[in-house]
Amino acid sequence: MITRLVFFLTAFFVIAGCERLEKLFVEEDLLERPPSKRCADCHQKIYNQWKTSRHAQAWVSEEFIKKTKNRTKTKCLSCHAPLEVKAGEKPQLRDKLREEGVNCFSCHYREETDSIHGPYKVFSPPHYSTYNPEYTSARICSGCHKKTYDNWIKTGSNKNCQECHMPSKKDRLIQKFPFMYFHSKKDLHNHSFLPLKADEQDFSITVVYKGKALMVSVKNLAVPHTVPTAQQGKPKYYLQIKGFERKETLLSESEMITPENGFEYKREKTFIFYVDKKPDEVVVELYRKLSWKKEREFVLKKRLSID
Amino acid sequence: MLSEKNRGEAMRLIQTVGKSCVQCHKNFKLSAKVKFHFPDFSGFSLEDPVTGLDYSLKDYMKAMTQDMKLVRIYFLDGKKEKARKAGFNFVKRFEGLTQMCSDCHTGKKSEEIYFGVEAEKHITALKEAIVDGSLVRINKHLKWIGQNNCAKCHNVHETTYHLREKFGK
Repeated sequence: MITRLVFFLTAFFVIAGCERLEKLFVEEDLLERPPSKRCADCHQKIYNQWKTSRHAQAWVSEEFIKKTKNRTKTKCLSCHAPLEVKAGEKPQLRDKLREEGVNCFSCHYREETDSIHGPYKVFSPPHYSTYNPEYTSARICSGCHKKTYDNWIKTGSNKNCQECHMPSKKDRLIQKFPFMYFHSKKDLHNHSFLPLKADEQDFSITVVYKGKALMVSVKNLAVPHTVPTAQQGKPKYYLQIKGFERKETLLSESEMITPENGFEYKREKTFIFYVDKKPDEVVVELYRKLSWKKEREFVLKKRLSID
Repeated sequence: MLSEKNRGEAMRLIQTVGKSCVQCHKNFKLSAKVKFHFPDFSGFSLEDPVTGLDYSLKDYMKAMTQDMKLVRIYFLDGKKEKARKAGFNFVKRFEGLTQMCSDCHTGKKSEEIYFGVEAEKHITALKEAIVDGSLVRINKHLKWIGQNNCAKCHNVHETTYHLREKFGK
């Protein structure tokens, strides 16, 4: 009887004191937007991925500093050190830790709930957590990546930003021993925000020779936004074309492609080159240059013969 | 004064501060606006699609307008090959101008005015005219580009740019 009484009393106090119990384990500095390194105490993998990302470079990137004239173009700044990233809203510029760029707290901390928001319902004693389905939608990116988002919406694609740029694999959200074993494995999304590179399967290329003009048509088959794409940066693609007649070069030309005249999803873009004689073989190469890089990267090469 | 609810003294101080705002606006509003609110093109560099090098805006414009003139001159001289080369270089450089709008314009509207569907149609038609060697059609499309792109953009930006240069000094 006494044992039962003790059990019920204990259960009662545990349940009644749950709120207090939750507070007991809260590490309050976590809800005061500390440096991202603090998150790495538990979320080591995510932190390491983020550290290599362009989001981590957003405020200190040389290109950004140059283009904003030493950060004096104020309208650019808030997306490079956002206070809180919310779906469909341009964020506010934060005051502290700007050098961390788009950091953990930019995307995951919300003052309105004083908790960490994310796509999972989790019990996380060191900080309050709020399940927020916005994190599985492309809208969460749209406040800053508006051009690409609008472009993606028009394509009607059901593949969202996260599926390609934050691919997931089953893993644990935290790596701190022994707490890592308190949570089941979940879809852990890659936080290095991969700037993916299109490949041969993503484009179809056709060439037609008509009236001394060689028409090269390129169609973006698989990337559900314009390629290249950017809100403000200047990524580029380069189309290089060589035309041969019995191995002799008849034509050697190149075209530069910017986000404004890029390869739209499932739309053919035709380039016209003048060439006196009809080539029997055409070699088409695509290269790209990311906004923050100086070197071009090879994307694809196709040899096409003209009948 | 406000916390002491001294209305008279507060008003006197507000007016003193106000005078300083008015005087500054009166004397420097125009020059400050021109110097700080209009774009400074001096720092722009554009990747030239023809040579692959980074050009200053001035050099880029020079190269592009040179191409535009050369198309006509070479065609009139009967140097079709050179004319075509200059024509295609002009088109490349013209399309390459898309690199610069987004340095300041974060919305798509201004890009659409200059590089929208209409401009695309004329550029395609211009390329076809260059291939065919039709000077009449080349002139027609260059005229459209001149009126709808060059003149429009210059009228918006060039005057204030020159003012800025003067005030800046």
